[in-house]
Amino acid sequence: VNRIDYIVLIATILAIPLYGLWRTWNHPNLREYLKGDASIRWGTIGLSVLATQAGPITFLSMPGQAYESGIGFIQNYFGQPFALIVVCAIFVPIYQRLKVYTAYEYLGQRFDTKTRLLGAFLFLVQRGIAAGITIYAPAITLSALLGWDLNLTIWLAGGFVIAYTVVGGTKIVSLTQRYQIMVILVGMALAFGIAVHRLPADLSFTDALSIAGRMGKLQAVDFSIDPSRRYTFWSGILGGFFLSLSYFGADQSQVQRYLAGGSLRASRIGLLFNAIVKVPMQFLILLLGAMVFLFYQFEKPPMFFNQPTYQRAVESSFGPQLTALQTRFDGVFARKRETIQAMSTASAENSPAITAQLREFDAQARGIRDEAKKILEQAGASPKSKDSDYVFITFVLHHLPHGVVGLLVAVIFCATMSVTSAVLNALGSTTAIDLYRPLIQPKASDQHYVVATKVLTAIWGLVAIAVASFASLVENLIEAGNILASVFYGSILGLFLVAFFMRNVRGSAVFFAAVIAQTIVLVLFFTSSIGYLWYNFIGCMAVLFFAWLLQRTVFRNTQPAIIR
Amino acid sequence: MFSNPWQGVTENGLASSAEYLKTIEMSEHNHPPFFSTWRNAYIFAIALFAIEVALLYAFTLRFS
Repeated sequence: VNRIDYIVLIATILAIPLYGLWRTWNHPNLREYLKGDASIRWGTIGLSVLATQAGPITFLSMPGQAYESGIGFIQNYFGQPFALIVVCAIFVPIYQRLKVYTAYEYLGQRFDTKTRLLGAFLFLVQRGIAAGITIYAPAITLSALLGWDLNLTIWLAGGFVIAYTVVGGTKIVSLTQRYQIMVILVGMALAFGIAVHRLPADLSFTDALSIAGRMGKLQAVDFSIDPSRRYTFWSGILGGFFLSLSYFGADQSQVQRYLAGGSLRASRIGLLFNAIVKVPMQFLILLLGAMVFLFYQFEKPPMFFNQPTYQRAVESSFGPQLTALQTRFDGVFARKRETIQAMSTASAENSPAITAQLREFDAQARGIRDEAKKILEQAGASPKSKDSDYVFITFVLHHLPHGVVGLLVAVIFCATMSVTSAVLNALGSTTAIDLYRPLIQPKASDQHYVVATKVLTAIWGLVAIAVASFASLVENLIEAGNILASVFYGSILGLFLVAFFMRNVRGSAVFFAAVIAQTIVLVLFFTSSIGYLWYNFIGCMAVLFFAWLLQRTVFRNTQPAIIR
Repeated sequence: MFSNPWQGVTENGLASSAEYLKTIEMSEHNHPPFFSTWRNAYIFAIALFAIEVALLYAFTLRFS
C-alpha cells in the first residue's frame, strides 16, 4: 500500500459521508429522522437494502469460500426471492399502513406492550453484538496484513460512521449506502477484470473456466437430496427462505431501509430489485473467488494466507516443521502446475485421468495447509478467523496495481460503514421508539425524541466499538456472529408470523410461546450438535406451535379477536 | 390454525382487512411499473429467478 492507495482510500471513505452530510444537514422532525423524506425513491431503497446485506465479511470471505470449496454457496441465496415477495405482499403494506417507525411497534399494536418489548429486546441483543463483529471482522484482517494498530483500525471503521449516522439519521444512511454500494460494485468488477487479465496470455476465459470446473470449483447448482451435502438447491430454497424472511421481515436494520421514504410502491420496487439482482451479484463475487483460485494455480500461493500469524509460528520452535511442510507444498504446487499445462495439450481420452490427477494434487495441497494450521495452533499462533478470509485481500495487496489496491481496501471500509450505519440507525430507533418512549418518556415533544434517538444511536455506536475491541477474547468470532443471528432470528420471525396469520392468538399466548421457543433453542444450542442454521427454523416453528397451544389451553378464556 | 392475514382484525382493530388490501392494491399511487398488478410483477420476478437458476445449472453442466 503506497501513497496513491492511501489517497484513493481516504478520498473514497470520506467523500461519500461528507456528501451525505451536505445533502442532509438540517434538523428534521422525528418522522424524517427515522424514515427519511419523499425524496428517497425506489433506486435508493433498492441499493440501500442491497448494501445492508453486503457486509465486509461478504467481500472478504465469499471469494475465499469459492477458493476453498467452489461456488456452490450461491444456492444459499435461492430462498431469498421468494422471501422478498412475501415481504412485499404482506409485511410492507401492514407496516406502511400503520405508519410504524419500527417493526416491533407493530407487535405492540397487534398484541401488547410486553410482546413488543420482547421482540425489540431480542433484536437489540442480537444486533448490538453483531454490530461489533461487523466492525471487528475487517479490522482484524486489515490490521494483520497492513500492520495497522487494531484499535486504530476499529475506530477508523467505526468512529466516522457513528458521527454521520447520529447527525443524518435514516436519510444519510440510505444516501451514503447508495454510493457505497456503487463503489463496492465498481471495485469488485475491477478486481474480477484484473484477475482474468492476470491469467496466462495463452489461456482463454473459457479454458480458464474449464480448468476451474474440472477442479471442482464451478458446481453452482446441486439438486442432490443427500443431507450430508452442505449446499444444495433444496437446502438453499428452504433454509434460505426462512433466513431471508426473518432478516427482511423482522430485522429493523432492513425494515428501516425499505420503509424509508414512506411510499409502498417505492418499498416494493426496491425489494423486487433485490429479488432479481442478488443471485447474479453473489454469483459474480463467487466467480471472482474461482478466478483467484485459478490465478494461484499459475502463481505460487502462500501456504498459509494469514502471513503475520504464519511468520510468528515460523520464528518459534515449530519453524523446522513448517519449513518441511513448505517444501512439500512447493513440490505439490509445481506438479500441479505441470499437470494443468499438460491438460491443454491432452487428447480427449487422457483428459479424465489428468483431471483425476489434478484433483489429487489439489487435495494434497489442502491436506498440507490443514497440517500447517494444526502446527500453528500448537505454536500458540492460532488465528482468530479462517485462513480463507485472507485469500482475497492477499490477492489484492500483492497482485493488483496501486490505486486499485486503495480502492479495494476502500471497498472493505465502505461495506463496513454501510452495514454499521444501517444497524446503528436501527438500534437507536428501536431503543428510542420501543423502549424509551413507552417506558421512560411517553409524552415528550417530537424534537425531544429526535435528540433521544441521536444520543441512543451514539451509545450503541460506542457499544459496538467496545464489542469490537474485546472481540479478540472470543475464538472464531465471525462464526459466533452467524450463530448468534440463527439463535435469535427464529423466535422473532415466529412473533411476526403469528401476528399475520393466526388472528385468534393474543398477546400473552404469543409472548410465552416466544419465551418457551427461545429457551428451547438456547437449550439445544448448549446441549446438542445440531447445525446452527436449523435454530432459525426450530425457533420459528416452536413459536407458532406454542402460541396455538397456549391460546387453546392456558389462555383460552381471553377475549377472542373481533372480526369485522 | 392459520388464516388469511388480510381478513379480520384484532380487538383493537389494527390488523389489516380485506377491504384495506383491495384499496391499497387499486390505489393509483401503488401501481407497479410495466405491470397491471403487483401479482404480475411478482410472477415476473419469480420467472426471472427461474431463468437465473436455469442459466446457473447450464453453467454447472458445461463447466463441471
